[in-house]
Amino acid sequence: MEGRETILEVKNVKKYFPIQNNVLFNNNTDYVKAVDDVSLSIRKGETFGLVGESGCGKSTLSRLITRLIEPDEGEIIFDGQDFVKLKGKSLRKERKKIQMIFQNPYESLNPRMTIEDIIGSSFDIHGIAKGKIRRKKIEEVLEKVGLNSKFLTRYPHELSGGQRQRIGIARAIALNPKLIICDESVSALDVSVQSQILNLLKDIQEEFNLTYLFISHDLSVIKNISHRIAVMYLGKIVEISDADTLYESPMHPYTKALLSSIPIPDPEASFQRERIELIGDIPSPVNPPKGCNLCTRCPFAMPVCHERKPELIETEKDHIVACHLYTSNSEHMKESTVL
Amino acid sequence: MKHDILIRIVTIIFQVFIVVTIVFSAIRFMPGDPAVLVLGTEKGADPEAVAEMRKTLGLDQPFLTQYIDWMKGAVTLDFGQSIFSGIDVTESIMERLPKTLELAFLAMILAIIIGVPLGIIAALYRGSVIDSMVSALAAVGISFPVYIIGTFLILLLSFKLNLLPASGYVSFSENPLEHIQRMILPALTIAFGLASTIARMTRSSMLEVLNKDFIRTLRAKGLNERKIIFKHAFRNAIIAIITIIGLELGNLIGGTVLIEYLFNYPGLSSLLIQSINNRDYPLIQGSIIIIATIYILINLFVEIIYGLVDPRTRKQNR
Amino acid sequence: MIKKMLKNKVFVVCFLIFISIIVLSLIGPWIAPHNPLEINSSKVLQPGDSENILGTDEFGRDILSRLIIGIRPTITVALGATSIAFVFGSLLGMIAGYLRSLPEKLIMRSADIILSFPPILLALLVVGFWGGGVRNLILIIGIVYMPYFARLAYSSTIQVKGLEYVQSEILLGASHFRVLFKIIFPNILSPLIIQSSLTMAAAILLESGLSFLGLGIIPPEPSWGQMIGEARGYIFTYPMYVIWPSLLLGLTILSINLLGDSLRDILDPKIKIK
Repeated sequence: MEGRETILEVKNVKKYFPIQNNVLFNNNTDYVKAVDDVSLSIRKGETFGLVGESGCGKSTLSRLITRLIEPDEGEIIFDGQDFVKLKGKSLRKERKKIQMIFQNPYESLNPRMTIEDIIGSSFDIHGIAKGKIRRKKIEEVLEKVGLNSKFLTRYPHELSGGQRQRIGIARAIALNPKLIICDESVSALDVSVQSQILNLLKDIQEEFNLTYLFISHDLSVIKNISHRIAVMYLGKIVEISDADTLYESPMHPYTKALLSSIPIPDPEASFQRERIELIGDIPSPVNPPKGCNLCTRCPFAMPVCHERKPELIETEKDHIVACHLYTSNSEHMKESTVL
Repeated sequence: MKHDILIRIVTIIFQVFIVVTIVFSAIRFMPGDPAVLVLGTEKGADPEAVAEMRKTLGLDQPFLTQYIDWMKGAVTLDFGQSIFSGIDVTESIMERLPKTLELAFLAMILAIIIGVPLGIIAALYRGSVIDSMVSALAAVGISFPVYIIGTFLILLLSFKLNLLPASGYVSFSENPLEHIQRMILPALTIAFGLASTIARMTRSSMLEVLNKDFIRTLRAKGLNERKIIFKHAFRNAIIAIITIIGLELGNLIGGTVLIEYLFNYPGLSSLLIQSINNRDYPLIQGSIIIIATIYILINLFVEIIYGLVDPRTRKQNR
Repeated sequence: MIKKMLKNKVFVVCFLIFISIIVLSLIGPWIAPHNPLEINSSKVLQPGDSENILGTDEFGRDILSRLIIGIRPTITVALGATSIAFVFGSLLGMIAGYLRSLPEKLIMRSADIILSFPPILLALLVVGFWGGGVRNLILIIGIVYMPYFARLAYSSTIQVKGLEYVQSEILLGASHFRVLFKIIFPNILSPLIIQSSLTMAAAILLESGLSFLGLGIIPPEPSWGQMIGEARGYIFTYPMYVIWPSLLLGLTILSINLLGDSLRDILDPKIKIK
């Protein structure tokens, strides 16, 4: 996927959430470091997967990128523009280009609106179309997600989970966005429906030349749909590479542990594979260790891992990892400028 | 926990401070000249008398000076003199306050004694005639204003049946029996409304708890039915009761205002009404401040007890 | 929704009663048999007869007419105060929940300050210094009950704000105005409506209580609470004088309370009160 222009660049973004301390005069506030210095860039037309366990900060990151939450530090450059600096009307205009498909099909649609109005909101907000033209546009979009116009007068509670997600997709593509963030968009669906929706997403991507940021905790889903994948742990990116390489030769111990926990249907193969297990307690996101976030659980931990946080380093073409195991041969490794 | 109480106390002081400020400011922002209103149309025409009254009411000084003087007075509980009687405001208030507190306390006790058992019985015999009767009675108690209930109780128990006296007050030291006799009707009147709310709440929280899974498990284990009811369900009902008392506190005080008037009971609340009718501004201000402060303090008390009793809140407050 | 409402018998009955009361208050002046203020010193405290169906009061005024006209100030104050509390309380609560930070602190602290007074005490303060009358009562009772709506709107807004369909509306580029009033408000309406019925009952109780004390509606304008206050002196000589307004007032409040209960059943069946 090289040679394509970058559509989204995230640089050193941080978001720390303060925790309420019940002490009256003590100014000592603790923070949850939800997103701790994250950088990545997404190329036009690709599907960039972001994988990690619950609570690693991937949803927070998605909300930072879309500015549903404001970042504490860092830059977000979207489509050449400084996305963080936008305000008011110009921000709302620019929002057309970056949309999101949410996780919970039961919560992402307004229960008091008809399907027509839910999708029509996109047009109403930006004053794009009214009356017959609006209706036609809505029907067109519905068609694209595989639903016919009889759904227009229905309410969300009359639809199944899969149908609702299709509406969510329809709403997202109605404004012809350039980037769509899929935040655990298939996680709440039955497995059979999951593959339907994933295929739909792929079709739409091709038809409209879309870029996806696909967030999930499910490794098999991520592998299915992503071109490149980033792995996140406790607010930090630990590894980025293209999908095949990540699954064939993962570098970071955390990635290895994740992959080795995917259930394999074949009992023999399952018995034979190398199990990487993480031992020990998960450090609290409030007080992460001084060194690498994984140092308390990593089976390969070295003394330096408890001392210093590892930087993201490009170890081979397009494969970046943050781990002290790979900085020992630091002579011909350069700190990554190409992500 | 200690910090928690500290924060609460600071909040209370702040609240009382605001209350005092608001009550103090009232006399300055009211329409018309308070001095003239107090003197009436005749004397109010005399400029000298008006000037004299303004001095008494403290309206001749600039706002800030008077405010500081007032605050100083408030802290030492000196609210000036009653215009009407000349007696020290604080003295009048302190004479009447215990009587109102006694009335309120008695009403609350009666309400709990009547309301809780009725609520439990209604829950245990859900759907029966008793349940309907209790629910109907409770509906009346909640809907009919307390002074109407008082009036009807007077009609019934005093007039028709000649059981209890309708007014007057005899102190405990003078004649304990008669003292209690005269307090029953007023206290009962207030208790009626309060008991209705308590009965309702007790009933619904009993029903909720009795249906919960853990009660079913206990029954399956074979525990004595009575033990189950009393020990486990009741404990949860207590939380509901304390909640109600906290919520109904405002009504309790409102009740004393109306009932003291109705029964001619010499409490602080009836003093307040009298002073409003007499335009006795210093007395109005003093009374309102004291009543409001007591309300705030009792609320704090209830909050603390609630925090101790409900293990869920305990965890949160940590 | 409407079907649910019609199925609930309690709701239908109470709603009809409520509407009739409002209608009565409007057409009162036309259907009252006598002038409620007309004094007739020759016919004082007389029991009902063909001319004065329910009898006369201590000034010889027709009780029935006074009862009919007496609905007006009570209902006016109740509706007016509830509207003020609903509109301004909900608005402030939504703003506090939506914007958080400074507006939240300001609005919620102000609400707490109002709540540090028992309602009747604050009303007495105002009545004591500014006098009674319909206008003052509407204002002060409205202000006294604003915090309940504010708190309710505040917590509901915070709850709804984080829901995905609100987030997606923001993401589409909706203005704050649209998000607040077109999306959030309809979804927090139910508890606010239930609160309205509670507040109406409370407002009627408060106004009639003040009138009972002689501090609410200014005589000789009749109001049920005030009539009860004046009638109690004659309880032993002519008890019906006090019984009529008492019954009417109590039943009115009862039906509003039941209306609120049935609304709760219709709108939010998850909460079990009964």
